[in-house]
Formats: sequence, structure tokens, C-alpha cells
Amino acid sequence: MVFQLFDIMGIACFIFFGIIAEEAYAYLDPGTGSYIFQVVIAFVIGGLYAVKLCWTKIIFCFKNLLKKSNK
Amino acid sequence: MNKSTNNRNAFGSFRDPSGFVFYREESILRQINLVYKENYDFFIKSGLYKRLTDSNLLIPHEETDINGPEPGRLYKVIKPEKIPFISYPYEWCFSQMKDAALATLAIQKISLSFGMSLKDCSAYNIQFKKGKPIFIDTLSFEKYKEGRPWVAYRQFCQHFLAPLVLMSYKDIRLNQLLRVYIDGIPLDLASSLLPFYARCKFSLLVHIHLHAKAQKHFSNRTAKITKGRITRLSFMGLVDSLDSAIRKLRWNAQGTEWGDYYDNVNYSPEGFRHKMTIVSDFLEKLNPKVAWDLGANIGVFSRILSDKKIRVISFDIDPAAVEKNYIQCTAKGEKNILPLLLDLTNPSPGIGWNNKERMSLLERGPADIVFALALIHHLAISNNLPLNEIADFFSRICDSLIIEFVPKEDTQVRRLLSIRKDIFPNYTQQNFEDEFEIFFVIRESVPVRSSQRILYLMERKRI
Repeated sequence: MVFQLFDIMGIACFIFFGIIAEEAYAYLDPGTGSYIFQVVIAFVIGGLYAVKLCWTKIIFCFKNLLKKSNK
Repeated sequence: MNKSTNNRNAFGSFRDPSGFVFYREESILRQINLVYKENYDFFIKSGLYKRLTDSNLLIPHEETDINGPEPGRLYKVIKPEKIPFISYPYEWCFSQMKDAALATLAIQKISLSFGMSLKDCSAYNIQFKKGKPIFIDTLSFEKYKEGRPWVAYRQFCQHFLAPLVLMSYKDIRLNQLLRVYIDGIPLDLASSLLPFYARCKFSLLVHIHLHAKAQKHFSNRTAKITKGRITRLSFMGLVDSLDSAIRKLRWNAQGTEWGDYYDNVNYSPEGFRHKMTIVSDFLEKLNPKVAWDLGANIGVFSRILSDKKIRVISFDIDPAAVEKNYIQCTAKGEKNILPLLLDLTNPSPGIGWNNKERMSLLERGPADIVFALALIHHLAISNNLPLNEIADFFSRICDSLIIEFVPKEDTQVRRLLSIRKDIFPNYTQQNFEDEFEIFFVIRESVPVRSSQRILYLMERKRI
């Protein structure tokens, strides 16, 4: 069920984004699917990464506060 | 300079137009082509080269004034530090593969902070030097262009992520697929082999399963290339996501045939100590620099060599034994031992284009000395290999040999013969000596105390 949900989401993403990607100029074939797939997942992956960065900063600040209060 | 004079281009270094590796006499050199000039200069001037070499993540090199074999395309010739022994991903244990993947991602993260990115992510660009993974392709870096997706994403997933996930989730032996698929395991194959519950992991769902579907979806279509972009944050998120996925992968080294060998060994403590003493004494009579320990298990005897500052490749067929050996090397910071996976009855062949892109085991030898301890009965009896074939093989991989003869009266051989017909009338100590003396001179033979085994020190005949 989970698989089907993500499966549909994935295909929907491809349809939504259409066939868009910048030319790779790579000596390796980056693989059209792999290349476009990054564009498709970029929003989700970037969003999760931004949350992770914020969370890390919050934890860091919190730890610093705790250290100062212990001193 | 004549193109063919004294030059030999390295097989496996012909795909990248940025340059290629070639040999001149005993040196390994790399021609950098003019087409790569801008990227190379930026790589050096940005400080990325220094940062990566200072961190022992990239092989250092010297710039030379040597003429390259193709002067028309030549920008520079560099001389990279030589890697003592080239190994391949299908010879690595789980943790070696994982460390290699993490080193590649660490390089990519650092590169991004210097405004560059890896343009390829082949697992063959990683080698092990002094026990640690190191990147060897100096020409794999290009200027990062904001908005452009990562061109090496597919290759990273096929070369590193797919094998590791299959080893972790399905079967440790599936890294051997890399011997068949030289450009990494196809993601649709990895996806079909993985258990269903692997789809519940977000990172695997994305980087393996959906990625495979995307590849299939676009396999027969032509991309109209216009405005697809990913932000720098998303680019870094992609690398971070792969890093997190790989860090979470685990494999416990247990449950294989030989992983617990030393818990069940049939030597008495006295016999075992005596065997170690004999081996150590034999080594005092030689001055080897490079050793191969065949059937090394977790590397107990490899450490005798390592303690004497001899570089040793510690081969075993068992993934758990190699894993334990490698973990011990990393835990203790042992720099002279390289544990590798090898089925001696089917050693790594030459693979890839022209069967020469990746070297066979034999092409990477010979070693100064080979250890074949508690091995001969497995080759001769378990695998029906005639003694003359075994002697011939050993003569092609070493100059000196320390080999243990295990007679039929030994409990291990009796165990091997307990469930099969004894079709080995020639498996005797006399025949063993006769067959090996065709290729070797027997310098010494010493019986091991409290056992019926005999250790031999042999030297290959110079023909």
C-alpha cells in the first residue's frame, strides 16, 4: 500500500514536471531518468535537508544554553 | 616524442576525455588534456587539492615536465603516488564498501564547499592505502554549476548504494554482481531483489525504487532540455540523504562458514603456538616486502607479517572473516594489512573492455611470499584440484612459499572425507613434495607439534 502510494506520487511528479533537465555535458551518460529524477525529488530532498539544518542549529543552541547555565 | 616509445596506456583509463593514465618504465603517470585545463587549474588554485590531500582523501601527485604520449592534447603530466596493490569493489567486504562510499560522499561535500563537484563516482576510483579508502582519480572534479543536477548521481547509486543495500538487506554475497556489471548494479535489478520492507525506508524508496522507475520511464524518451534546475540546497540535500542512507546500513559478520574458524580450530594451544613460531622463523630467513596470505581467515598469521613491517594482502573466501579482519585493522590502525575477499578456486578475472579494464589476480602479482596455511586440503579434497595444478598456480603468484601440508590422518581431512568417497589416492606427503619440487626448491620442512601437519618453506625455481 505504502509502495503504491509512493509509486503514484512518483509518476505524478514526472507528469507534473514534464521532461525538463539541463544538458549534462558529462563524459559519462548520467542517465536521462536519473538526471530528471533529481529535479523531481529536489523539492522534497531540499526541504528535508533545510529542516535537518534548522533542527541541528536548534539543538546546538540548546546545548550551548545548557552548558552556560551549568557553569 | 614517439607515441609508442616506452609508453603503455593503462587499461581502464580511456573513457574520460580529461586525460588518461600511462606507464613509463616503473612510474605511473597521468596526462591531463587541454580540455581539462580550466578545471584542473581551479582545482589546484581553489585549495581543494590541498584540502583533500591533507585529509588523506585524495592521492597526492607531483607535476612533472615529462612529455605525454599524446602531445597534441597535452596540458600537463602529473605523477600520482603509487598505490601498492589495486583492489576492486567485488573484493571488498561490507565495511570496506561502506567506508569507500562515505569517503566519496565526504569528498563531494568538501568539493561543493570549494565550488567544485565530482563528475563521476565510480567505485573503481577508490583504493585502499594504509588501511583507509583514498580517491585516485585527480581528474574527476569539475566546477559546480548552480542549478545543474549531479551528473554522477546514477553512478553513485549503482556503484555504492545498490551493492551495500543488497548486502545489508538481502545477502552479503550479492556484491559479486559487481563482477558482472562493471558500471554498477542496475537499479531495476537491485529494486527487484530487495525485500518488500526495504520500500518502507524513505531513502531506499527514493534512491533505489523510484530512481529505478524513473530510469525505466525515461529509457526510451528524448529529454527536451530547457529549464530543469535544482538549487544548491537541494544538491547538498541529495548528497546528505545518500550519506544518511549509507550510514544506517549494517551487516553483522556472523553465520558464514569460516567466520568463527578460530573458535573451532583443531590445534592444541601448544601446536598453534609452535606453528606461529615456525612461520616466524621461516620469515627471518627471507626479506619479503609484499606478502599474500591465502585463506587468511581473520588474519592471525597476516599479523605476523604486518608486525615485521611487511605489506600483506589478507585474502579469504568468507565475507564474515574478511569483515572481522578489516574491522580489526581499522580499530587498531593497522596500516600494513589489506583484507580482501577472494575465492581462490575462481580468482578475480580480467574484466571490462577487452578483458583488460580491471586486472585479474595474477596480473597483480607476484608476491614476494605467499602463505598457504591450512589450505591445501580444501583445494585438493574439497575442490578436487590436482596437486600439480596447485603447485603450478602457486609458482605463478610468488617467489617464496610457506605452505602447510595437512595429511589424510588429520581430523579436518577426515571430516572432509567422512561424507564422500576417497578418490584421492595421490594425496600423500610424498606426492605433495614431488609435485611441488617441479616448481619449487624445498628449503625446510618442520612438523607442527601436537599435530600431523608439516610446514614447508619453498623457493620458486628460476627457469
